[in-house]
Amino acid sequence: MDTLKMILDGYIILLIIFFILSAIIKSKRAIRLTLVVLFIFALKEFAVKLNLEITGRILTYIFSFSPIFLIIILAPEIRKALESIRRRDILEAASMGSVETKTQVIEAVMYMSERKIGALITIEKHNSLDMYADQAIIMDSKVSKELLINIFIPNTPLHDGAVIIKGDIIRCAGAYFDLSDREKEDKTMGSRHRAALGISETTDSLTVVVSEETGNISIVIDGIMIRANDRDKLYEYINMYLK
Amino acid sequence: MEKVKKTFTYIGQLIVNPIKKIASIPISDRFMDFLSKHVWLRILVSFVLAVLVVVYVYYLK
Repeated sequence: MDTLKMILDGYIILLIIFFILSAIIKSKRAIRLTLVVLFIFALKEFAVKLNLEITGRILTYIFSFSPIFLIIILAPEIRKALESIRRRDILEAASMGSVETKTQVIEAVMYMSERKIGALITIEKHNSLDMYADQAIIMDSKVSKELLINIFIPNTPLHDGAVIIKGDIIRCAGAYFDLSDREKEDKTMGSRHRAALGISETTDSLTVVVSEETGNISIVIDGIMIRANDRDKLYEYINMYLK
Repeated sequence: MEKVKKTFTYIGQLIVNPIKKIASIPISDRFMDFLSKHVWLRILVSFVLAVLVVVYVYYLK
């Protein structure tokens, strides 16, 4: 009976450790934070073993709060790990706005590409982008080609940030994302593309980027950037990832 | 010579501010890709850690 209890205990611990590991390896930030926590733990054990009264007490106190700090700081990674349990495929299609919305987005992107107007349009899927929208200019207006083009016209107040689309609504404009720090990407890559990669690494959103220099259109999802310069390809990708 | 100098600088920084040094440790993209692609490795590491925890709790404590 004791052996059975031990095996069951071990199995549950294995599942918990596997989940934590899966959440941690999703980002370098999480790995670094875990290393810091492990370092504090080692220091605490060291201090306790050597009977360093004050250091031992302080570090024990700090370490007891570390799970709460970790949960707060790693909230996006934990959310993503929980989401991936529900989603069998990370590129699984999500419910998005109507065909009309997709058409408006694609038309706007094609227009801006032809005229080399830089644009960054992020479409929300399962993960909420409200934390970015809250710090941007809230619009809550219907998606239209004209409005999207107008937002990205150079030298206007909103043209530098990202537009976030939720369903059939432009939730906000002028949103700023954390830039990706992936080393293997081209160092000369512009901040718009880095921002698109950054948001795709922390959420399951789909982002369409138009380069200001070349007019090239890219679709960014799950840390992968795909070039989609013609209308048919753009339709194909958007329909594939957003249903 | 340059390598030795770099190593000493690194150790010095590690002594002065270890948490900052650990928090900015370089992690390569290849390592990240390897870990995320090979689920078996994650299962193996989890298994080893789980065994260590069980042995510590049931036999050593």
